[in-house]
Amino acid sequence: LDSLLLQDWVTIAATSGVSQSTNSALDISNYEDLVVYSETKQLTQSDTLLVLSTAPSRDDASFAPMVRPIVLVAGTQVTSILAVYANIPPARFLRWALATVNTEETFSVTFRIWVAAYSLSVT
Amino acid sequence: MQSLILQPWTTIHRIAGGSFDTFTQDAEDWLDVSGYADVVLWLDVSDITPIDATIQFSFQTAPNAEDTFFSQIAPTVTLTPSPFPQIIKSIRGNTPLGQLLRWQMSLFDNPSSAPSWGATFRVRAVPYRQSFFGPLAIPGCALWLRSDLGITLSSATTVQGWLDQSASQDPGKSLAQSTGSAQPGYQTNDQLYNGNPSLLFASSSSNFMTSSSWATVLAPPCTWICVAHNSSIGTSQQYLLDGDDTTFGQIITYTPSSTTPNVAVTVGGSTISANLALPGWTVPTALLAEVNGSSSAIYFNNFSTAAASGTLGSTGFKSMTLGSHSQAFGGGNYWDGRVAELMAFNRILSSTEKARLRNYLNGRYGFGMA
Repeated sequence: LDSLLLQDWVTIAATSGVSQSTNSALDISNYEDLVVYSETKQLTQSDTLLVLSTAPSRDDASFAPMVRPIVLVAGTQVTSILAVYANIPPARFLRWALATVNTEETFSVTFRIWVAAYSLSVT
Repeated sequence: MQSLILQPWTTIHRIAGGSFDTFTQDAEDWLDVSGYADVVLWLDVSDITPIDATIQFSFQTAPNAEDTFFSQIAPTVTLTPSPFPQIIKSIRGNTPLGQLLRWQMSLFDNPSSAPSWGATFRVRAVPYRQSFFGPLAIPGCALWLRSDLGITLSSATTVQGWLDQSASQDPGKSLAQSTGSAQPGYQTNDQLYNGNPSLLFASSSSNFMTSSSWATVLAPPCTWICVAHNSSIGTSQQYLLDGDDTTFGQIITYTPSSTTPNVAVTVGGSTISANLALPGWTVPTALLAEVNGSSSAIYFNNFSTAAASGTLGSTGFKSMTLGSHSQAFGGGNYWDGRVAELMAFNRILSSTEKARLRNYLNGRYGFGMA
């Protein structure tokens, strides 16, 4: 088990979806299971979504969401992504993206993401 | 996990006709995946020729390089140009991964009679040391229908066959519908089901599918699980499935009432039922029914707290009509909604087994189950 920082504290304000750059995507090639801890300090829109995506290479179009988007709330949220059960298991790279249901309004969110990464199953 | 290149970007063109209509990857490019349990394949397609052709792609595995040993590890994929990859999973419980992995492509349909055909594509393979879970890992799986496995389409959007994936070896358990107008629709990349496909049953079109009589009656105690939802609001009872073509006996039904939407399981003349919170079964939901005499129960999604319990009869399931009352009684009460997965076990499952199935369904469909 290793603890990996996917995203240190950051505040994002935008009117449309935002993705972590592919260069910043986390290399998780040594791991098969992930537990993602997202901590949100503030958010202006209650429909702000966190999308956790994976891809076998760092090209933007390859990233696919592993789980349904997570509706962010203030505080810590924990999401397990186990290769055994995941619809799309973690591939080599992991990154986050933000989206909102209401694309008309500016949203702002302050958050960080830590990942507990397991090289063996945690079933 | 490693990310391996099974096939770098390549363009392959073939002359149409005869043996030229199938092409297998060159042996020197096959991947050695020894040491791994399962694999996820990321298939990118940028172009197909001619554009109206149906070109199918399969992934095959074998314990050595002899051609006769190669078998398919995942459903056949129809190539579609897209900026995004198609993602295909093997499941060790269905087809174990051998030492070698390769692809094969074939021309399935060439409506414009084009003289040549081909595609531009790449394939990345991500192998895993763990096996992906599938219902066959639970002993006693007597029936397993999943919307991406064993589907036969009569057109791009209608289903005429749905093959049972269980190890029962009973061809009578597979579903079919030969009448075009009664065939359910097929929704690929259904966002309601987390991007997985689903079968669309429209009551207005009287869609349903039936099996033959089963070689072995599925007698209680047994467990049924289905992943589905319903699109209608009304007072008429709708049949998700009818497990008996000779009596009114073994059924799972839903009444989409605007005040008290209700799921009922009836076996051998006895019924237990559970009301759903409004608006009812309008979103994809996993239903688990334990048919176990006086200890029978219905669960929704979490599989740990029963929504209803009571007594059901001991009559067995002998066949199946999906989406309708048995046609032996003229059909009717057609399902108006979608179905993504259906399974049955020949016993009552332990809490650990139910938890594993809950995790599997939650991961696949993203129910957000507790």
